[in-house]
Amino acid sequence: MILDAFPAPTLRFGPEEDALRERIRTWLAGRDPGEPPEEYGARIAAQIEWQRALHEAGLVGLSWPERYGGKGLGLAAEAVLAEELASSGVPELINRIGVYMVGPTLMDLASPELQERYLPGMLDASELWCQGFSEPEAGSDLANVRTTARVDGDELVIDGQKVWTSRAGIAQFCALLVRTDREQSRHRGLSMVIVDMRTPGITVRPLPQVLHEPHFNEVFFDGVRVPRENVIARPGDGWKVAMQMLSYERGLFVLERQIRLRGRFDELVDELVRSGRAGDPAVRERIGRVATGITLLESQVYRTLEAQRTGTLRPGATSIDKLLLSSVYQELFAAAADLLGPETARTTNGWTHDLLESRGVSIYGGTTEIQHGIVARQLLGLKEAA
Amino acid sequence: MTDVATRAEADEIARSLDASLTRILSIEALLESAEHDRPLPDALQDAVVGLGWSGVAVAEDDGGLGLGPTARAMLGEVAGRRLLPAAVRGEALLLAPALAALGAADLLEGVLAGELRGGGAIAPAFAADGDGASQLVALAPGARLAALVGTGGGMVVDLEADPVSVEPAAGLEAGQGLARVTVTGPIAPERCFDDAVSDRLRDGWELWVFAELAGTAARTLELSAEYAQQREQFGRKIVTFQAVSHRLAEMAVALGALDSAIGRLAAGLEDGRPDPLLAAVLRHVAPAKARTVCESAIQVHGGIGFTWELGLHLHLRRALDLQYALGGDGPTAQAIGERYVAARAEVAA
Repeated sequence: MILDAFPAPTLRFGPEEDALRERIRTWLAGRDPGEPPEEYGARIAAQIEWQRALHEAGLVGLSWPERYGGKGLGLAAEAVLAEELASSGVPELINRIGVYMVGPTLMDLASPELQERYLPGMLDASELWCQGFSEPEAGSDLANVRTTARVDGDELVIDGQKVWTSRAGIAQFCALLVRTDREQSRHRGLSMVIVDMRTPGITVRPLPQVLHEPHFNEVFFDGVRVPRENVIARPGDGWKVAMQMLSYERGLFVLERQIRLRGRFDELVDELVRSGRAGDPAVRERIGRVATGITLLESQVYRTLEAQRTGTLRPGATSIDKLLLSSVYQELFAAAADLLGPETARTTNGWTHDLLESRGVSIYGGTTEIQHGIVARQLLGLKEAA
Repeated sequence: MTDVATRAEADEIARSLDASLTRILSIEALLESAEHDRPLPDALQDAVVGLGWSGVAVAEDDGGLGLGPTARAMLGEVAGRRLLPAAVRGEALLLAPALAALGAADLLEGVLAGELRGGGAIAPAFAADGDGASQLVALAPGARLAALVGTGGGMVVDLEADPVSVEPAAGLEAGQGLARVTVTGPIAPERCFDDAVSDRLRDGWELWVFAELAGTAARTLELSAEYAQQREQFGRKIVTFQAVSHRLAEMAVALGALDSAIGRLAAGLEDGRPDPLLAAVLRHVAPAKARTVCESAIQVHGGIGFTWELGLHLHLRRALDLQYALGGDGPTAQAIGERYVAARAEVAA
């Protein structure tokens, strides 16, 4: 069961990756854009510009096949890039939903026409993507999607509402999960359709999160017309496409998060070293416990990447990645507040920002409870598990 | 680098050893040995030793199996799952490779043949000639040799001929032959080795122990998952209670994460890209996770889990013993912190 291929194969780096790492380091030297501006619009613009520059240097889509504008390298190359970008001011790609999730899903399941039209704009960040999955009545219970799309000639007409949609305000395109067959229920009768966010009938309303930042939105669809050929795979395959897309939400996606957390952790330790508190054995023990979580997450991500590389990813396995990410994220910033003390913990700053923000990690992308259910049923094979 | 063929080969060896140990080490025999704190009967000892464990960490040229880190981890997992006697671990991972490093061919041959028994332990630092070293060691019945591996070197002592005292101790893992071995005088230089050898032995022993911890805990999860699907209370199987199934899921997550970390440590050793931080983390987290899984297994089984006869406590005892052999929960966490702080201070300088 759980250990049947023990010890788990892991993504390995060889001389090719070492050479790539050198190339990236050379390119990065002197080009670091630094911390992007605070103001939201300027921040997004700076991040788009950074991905464009990376693309121009041939560094975006390293693992994408060459026919889709990629470099045809392996996932190890992508991992090296993510590791090296970590030291820059902008460690995450602004269009990572496109590059890491929607793009690979299109390669797997979409028509050549859709691939040709939509893949190139993902790489250079000229077209940003979002995903429209969750709805007011379809949170953990995603199959309860009620947004409908009815056929009208060559078009689909979409009505309904999505919620918690990240980046809907800045994205050009959305991969939207809709019900195309109202006779069918639950997982059947769903379709995944590409929607241009500038289409008339779409209203995006920011839904400020706990920090009052406009990261996500409510999106309303009122008679929105979309060409029928924008359906990814076949009508009715929506659930399959959604699951494929979510499977790409692990791997490189989590690697980026892990690397960002490692960076924040280093900042914390540096601060504790500067203040002299790092000499306290109790502080060192706490540092050791947080380092443990981050290191375990790192090994887990490299295992997942290797399984993705070799096509041996087991259903439910990446729930482990999500669960580790949630607990590490929350432990790190809880430790930061404890170790940096009341002056830091009682004021608004980057640490308390991340402390509050960390509550979302165990909710988005499938709550901790949902992940436990997946592990019990899929990984442990407990068919009757609640 | 291990190619697919060798991994498949190692997998076959592991499966065959697992089947053999399952046959030889019945839960009844293990409980009998623990209850009376005496070794397994000679016939069972011979059967276990006859499987060739003492060759797992010795090169083929020296008469061993010449296994790489990944293959050794696979066998360590089996050892933990089936509760291989602790003395066999010491013989295989410390004593035999120490004798190989010392070039003690005759003694090595005896150990590989299972004729010369002993044990081995990781010990705190001690003097270059070994005088004063003292450590708890699980010794096989009739043990002649013990490897004591310190932080800056180590030695193989002859328990009959060398100046050592052997005091039997009541082990938490009863029946494993635990004894305190104390060196009371200088040990001959040809039986002592330097830090290069002791570091290598320690790395190999630790990887095995991490795998053993994963294996022993994995066994209790398997038993728990089976039990939860059979046991009924309130007119339904207890696995249908979310409190139970989520606990089982947490056990699986702990083991899955451990599996990934051990796999990465083994791959690093194999590729000549060792990861000292990951090793330090595993010293802390492998026993911590294994212990939690064993404890959860007892909880999932309820009152039956707490009985002697079910034997879950044997796995918990092993996890606890190894946790403290590796340094204990707090000190190993602190050691990671020290390492991390030192690394950041170096970056700053």
